[in-house]
Amino acid sequence: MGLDRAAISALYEQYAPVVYRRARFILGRDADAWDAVQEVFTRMLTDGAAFRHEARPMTWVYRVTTNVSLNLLRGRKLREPLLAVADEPTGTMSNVEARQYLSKWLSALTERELEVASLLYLDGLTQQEVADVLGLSRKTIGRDVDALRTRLGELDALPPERP
Amino acid sequence: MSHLSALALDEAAAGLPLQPDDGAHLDSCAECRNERDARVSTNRALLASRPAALTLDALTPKRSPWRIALAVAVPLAAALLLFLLPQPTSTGSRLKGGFALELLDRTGKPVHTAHPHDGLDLAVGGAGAPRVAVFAIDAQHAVTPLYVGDLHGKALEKVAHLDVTPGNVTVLAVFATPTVSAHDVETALAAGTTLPDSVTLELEVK
Repeated sequence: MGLDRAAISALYEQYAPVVYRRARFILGRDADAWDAVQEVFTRMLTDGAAFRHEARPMTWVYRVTTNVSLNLLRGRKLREPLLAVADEPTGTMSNVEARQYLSKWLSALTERELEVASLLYLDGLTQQEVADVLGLSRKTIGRDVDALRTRLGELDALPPERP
Repeated sequence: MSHLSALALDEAAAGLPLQPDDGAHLDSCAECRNERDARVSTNRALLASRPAALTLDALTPKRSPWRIALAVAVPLAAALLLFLLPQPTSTGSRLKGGFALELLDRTGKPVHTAHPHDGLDLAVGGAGAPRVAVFAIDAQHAVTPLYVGDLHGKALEKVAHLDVTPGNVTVLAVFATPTVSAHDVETALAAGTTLPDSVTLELEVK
């Protein structure tokens, strides 16, 4: 893997809490969130070139954590369809609401729409930041967001706009 | 400008350089500085937790940079695992001209039984495949990555060192490109589907 213990520990201290919080928010369970942390760091350590070449490394962390967490959520939904949105008791109301939106989105949106919706509505990123995270132009994201709002409106799954 | 986004606050809490506008805002906004400081405290507490330490331990090489020392655990019935695992392309150890997976003791001898605290070398042969991903699978079907990396030839090569802990375990090596993830393996387990280009090995821990 190329990095020694000290280097891995440094990366872990810098990024693991962010990965954990995002994964926990999407997945709703501690154990699943730590699985996501391990998976994201395994990717970071085995595909380090992509991570190191990011101008804003945190955007790589956001993107990969979102992908990994949504994949875990999909897998869990297949394995335990009745429990897919079950939350641990520590979940706040906003977390529960977020996962209810996610549950609707998972079955109706494309991969790209799901990523944009998660970053925009759950994480509260700006359109420019969503563009940075996904490596797309601001103009492209603007078009995607317009189409997404229409789609979510039709699905009755459009979260209220943040102030 | 409005307050910093979650992304910018996470960057600030991690000590990363901020975008110029974000940096200027942080300097002038007490509310965002408080939010950043709160994240720093939360991050510290999280890193001090036991799951955080265990996860870091699983990611960290213990003997040299190219070796991973990883504890694999959880008692299980080997027969149950054999029944539940997706059928691999081949089962067991070395196949002449094909993929190979071995656990080797200190003398280099292949083993299928071990004791807790034994150190075993994980060796794989890709028959020309460029990459391998190796996983441990426990009784609950939890999949833990043991090693992911490039292979350098057709011969069997040692790629990682494992510290054995109590409980039988199944080791699965997948030689597919692109490299499969632990989630791919879990999905295959749940669906009962076959992972192509894979080999499994059962380790009984006495």
